[in-house]
Amino acid sequence: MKAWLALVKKEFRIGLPILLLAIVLFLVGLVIVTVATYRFGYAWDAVGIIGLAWGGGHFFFMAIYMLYSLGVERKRLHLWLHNPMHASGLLAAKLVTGTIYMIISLLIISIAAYVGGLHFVPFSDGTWFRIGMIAFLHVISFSIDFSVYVILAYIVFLLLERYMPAFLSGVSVFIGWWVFAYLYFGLLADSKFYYAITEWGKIDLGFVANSLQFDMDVRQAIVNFQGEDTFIYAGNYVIELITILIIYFIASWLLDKKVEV
Amino acid sequence: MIEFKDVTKRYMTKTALRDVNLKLDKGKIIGLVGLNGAGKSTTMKLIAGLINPSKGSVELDGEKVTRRIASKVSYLSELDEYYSFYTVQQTIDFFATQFPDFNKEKAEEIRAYMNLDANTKVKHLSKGNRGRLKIILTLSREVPVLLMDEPLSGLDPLVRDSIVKGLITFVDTEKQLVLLSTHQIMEVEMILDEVIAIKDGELVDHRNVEELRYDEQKGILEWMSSIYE
Repeated sequence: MKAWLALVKKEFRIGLPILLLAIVLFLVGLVIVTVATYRFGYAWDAVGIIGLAWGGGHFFFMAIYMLYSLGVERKRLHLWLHNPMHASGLLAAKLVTGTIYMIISLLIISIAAYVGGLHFVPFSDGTWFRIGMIAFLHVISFSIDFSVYVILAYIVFLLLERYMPAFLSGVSVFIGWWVFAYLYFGLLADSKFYYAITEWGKIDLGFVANSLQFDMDVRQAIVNFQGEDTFIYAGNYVIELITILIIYFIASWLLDKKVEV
Repeated sequence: MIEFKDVTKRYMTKTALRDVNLKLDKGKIIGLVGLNGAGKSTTMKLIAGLINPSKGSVELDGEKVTRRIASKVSYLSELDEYYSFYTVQQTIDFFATQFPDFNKEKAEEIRAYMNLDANTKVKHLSKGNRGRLKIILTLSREVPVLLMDEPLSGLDPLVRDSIVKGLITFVDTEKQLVLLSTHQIMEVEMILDEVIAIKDGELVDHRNVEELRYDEQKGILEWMSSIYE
């Protein structure tokens, strides 16, 4: 455990540029949008919108974080892989630090989204908080989920790189990614079998906003939440969790047994 | 201790090692010599478990070598890449956390001997000092096998001299096996117990240096010349 915690500490240092980049880009966007909308009188609305948009963009935070962090290790595989720790431990250290950085970034963004959002949709009965928490948890879980697929893709890229130039390896993984996406999300996820194994454990979330309607001109800005009574299936989450655990196991096994320095 | 059984390693169409059979025992400093591309680094990486044989097997104490053999093997890469944001001391501390056998006191002793500033960032180290850092990190581990791939490459004579002396001083020749590859044969000849020559991926000879010297009146360089001519 001590070795793993020291690895986590190292990963914090490696991944720091991604956290800083996320915060700096958000602040730059915030300043630009605020300055641009201030004279029209709806700067707060714009702050809320940029907060929500950038928060949503965090769906991809973990994937970008893992690509960056694994890219750093690619140059020093002889260091990273010369370690008695199981590959799942090496990868978990990266996932944990990335998740913590993502939460920090999201918390900063949430302040803007909350303050600005309250301005254009003044919910007062805790609806904002409920919507925010559901969005917050979904952004985090989706981002981690997506990044596990990215980890596997990157490890396949490292494997193929032993047999072909890096560019060709990258192109092969890119094509493989879309083939997988089509087979999994296009065919399997739309099949009766998939519905049968995922559509159980219905949970009613009540009213949840799922889109925003904008009506803006130089004189005014009207932003409305569009939403509906929403429910989710626990089965979807359980099956996806099992899927990413399998993907994570395969990625760890490949890193342990097949990736060469 | 280390045994190669009919080991072949191929990279696509190129064969880096071909049907190598080799046995190495502990308590020796062994030189691995050969021209560029002969298969020296491949041999080292196979023992470190960082690559896998295409055919045959590599075993350490009867156990099949995998990446996690790092618990018994200390590997010095020919590459200089370390975590540039760390200082020398932080790099040593990080290694100490990753390997339970890492002896921090020994690391401090070698660092002082190598005259390397603990507070300098790795990214600001010269090539020579990065070479010194690699030696500190490798020799500070109390493991049965030390692998050093080109530890003297690209270093000036003074640094090379201090590294060779460091090897004599800080290696436990009773318990550890040191396998080092180098082109600077003259400089390491006096510390080698055995020497292995690799040519075009094939192990061409494996000799005891003392026997070579007394039986055939040859130094390693002459012996190598006779092999490569």
